[in-house]
Amino acid sequence: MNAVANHVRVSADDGLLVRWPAPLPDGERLVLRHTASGHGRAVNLAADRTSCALHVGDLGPGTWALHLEAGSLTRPLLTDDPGFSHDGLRAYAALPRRRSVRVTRSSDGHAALDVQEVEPHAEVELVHPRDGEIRIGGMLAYTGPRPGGARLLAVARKGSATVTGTARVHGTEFHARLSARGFATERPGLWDLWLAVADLRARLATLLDDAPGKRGKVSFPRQTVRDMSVRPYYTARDELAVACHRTEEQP
Amino acid sequence: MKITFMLLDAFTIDGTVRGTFTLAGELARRHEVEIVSVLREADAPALPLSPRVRLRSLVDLRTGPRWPFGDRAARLMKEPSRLVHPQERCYEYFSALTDERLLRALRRLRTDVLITTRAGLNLAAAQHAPRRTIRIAQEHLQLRVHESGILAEIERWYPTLDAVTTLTVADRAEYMRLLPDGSCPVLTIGNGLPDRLYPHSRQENRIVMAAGRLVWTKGYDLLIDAFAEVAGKHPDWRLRIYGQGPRRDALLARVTRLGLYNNVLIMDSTDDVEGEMAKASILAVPSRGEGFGMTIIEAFACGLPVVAFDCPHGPREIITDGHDGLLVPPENPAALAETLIRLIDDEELRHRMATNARTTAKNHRIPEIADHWENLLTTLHP
Repeated sequence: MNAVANHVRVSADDGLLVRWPAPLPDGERLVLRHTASGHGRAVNLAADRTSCALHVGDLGPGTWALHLEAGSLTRPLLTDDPGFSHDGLRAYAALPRRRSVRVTRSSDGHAALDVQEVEPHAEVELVHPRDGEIRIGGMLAYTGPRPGGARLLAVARKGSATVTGTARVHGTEFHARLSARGFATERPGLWDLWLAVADLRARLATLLDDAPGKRGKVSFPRQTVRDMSVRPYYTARDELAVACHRTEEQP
Repeated sequence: MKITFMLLDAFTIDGTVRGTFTLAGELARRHEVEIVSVLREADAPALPLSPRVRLRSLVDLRTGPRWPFGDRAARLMKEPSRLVHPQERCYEYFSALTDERLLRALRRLRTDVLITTRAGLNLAAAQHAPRRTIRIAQEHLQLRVHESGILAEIERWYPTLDAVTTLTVADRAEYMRLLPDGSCPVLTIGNGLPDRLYPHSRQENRIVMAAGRLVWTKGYDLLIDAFAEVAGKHPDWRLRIYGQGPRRDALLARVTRLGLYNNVLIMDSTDDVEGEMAKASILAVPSRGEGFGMTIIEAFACGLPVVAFDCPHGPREIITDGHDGLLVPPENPAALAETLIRLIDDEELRHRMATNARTTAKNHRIPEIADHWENLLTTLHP
């Protein structure tokens, strides 16, 4: 019977910890194998053979499959740990970093690490389109606390127009407001949202909720200012944007 | 022993296909097993099927090089079915072409046991499958969902079958009342959980999950109404509904109208439903009726307590109220909200129920379920 790990997690300081409920047989090692290049890294278990810890912050981008190796025998690391903690991902993203390491679990129970280059973004957690405004709350991801003044920018996808809103940042938490009225005098179109804080411009997106593909799955209400309908929406990459149409254009 | 299962469509994702694939895979460890799908709409089934099980289809609906498959077939496909009763709930999927292919397949059947999986196919097997074949009708829905015309057919033809199986004890009782004394045996054998490694929820994410087809019977409108209350009390909790179906747009509009766009996500159905379950902390089953409730036992295996309406018949036969889940008066969103809030507030209760749920799930493992089938088959085919 293959030993099933009951804990496979990466901590905020990029430490991978794997734990088993009972000691593994003597001679087992944990192996990380980069699926694209075949490059591998082997690690010995702790002395009691119920855990294994290593730093994974320096792994190259891509998928690293986790295996157990005993002599010449290698088998996938199985786990019953779903590997997703929303609070854990938020804590992980609260620190500045250029690379993120996430644990994934396939439907047949195989554990792997997904390593990606990341850029700071403004993680959207609440959107309230009402009272002539779009209010947005969330956290700065992968950049740490950013003191200094902040603004919310809506940048027209075509052309160079910008509509500016207000924003406050406390630590990594942000709250921003955008007046729907600002769009009424502009041309209809799509607007991408950015949080400008100190020297950083961070795209607004919802990426830490482990629910990719929100376009068409979340429908925010529209607000109408004069004859302009203003409505936030998620793009195909789960970024938050605003769609503006003249109301007579609505079907 | 050779066992043939017959499905309307093995290429879609629903409880009947899931249950049949799991059982067929398990029986194929000891028997020769094939699945005959009346319709074929894809190159490969959407759900995993054991390589030991042979899959063939009668009518190929795939577009592309095979289409059109001949003028006659195209014409027959436009003509309504005469073989299947118009009150069969999937009547629109049958046609004169499926009639022709189905009759031919039944008459040429070389198998020891034929297990059909819905009323239209059960009636066809009763009338046209060779008498030397053991014919077993599986009811994956409930007797009460059938209308009077097809009920009369069921009453007339099911007694000529070798056995009828239901998913719940309550449904068996209804069949026993309908079918005359001394006709075929009626047994209750539930669906089984595939023998696999299930992920276990750590009860660490503030997520209530639901999964199923987005149709009226599943009651997701009632769940969304209930979640408006839940989100009022616990704004950081989220509801994720996984599924596809005709009610999607209406449900999405309801979420928007109730201002729940920060709390409720209606996601596409997923091929790793257990993986998503294990990321959640509670499964909600707001069905108006539930023939069995496969998602309930899947959630149990993943260590999720289940909050379900006490609808006919599945939930109350699977869930032990207060032990591994909570039953709520049916179609009552206020009571559903109250119960969800109770479970959200009481983390210790969630953990206790999650542990119990995993123990309950063991009774539904497919090896145990397959043993019931083996007993039935041995009785009928000594």
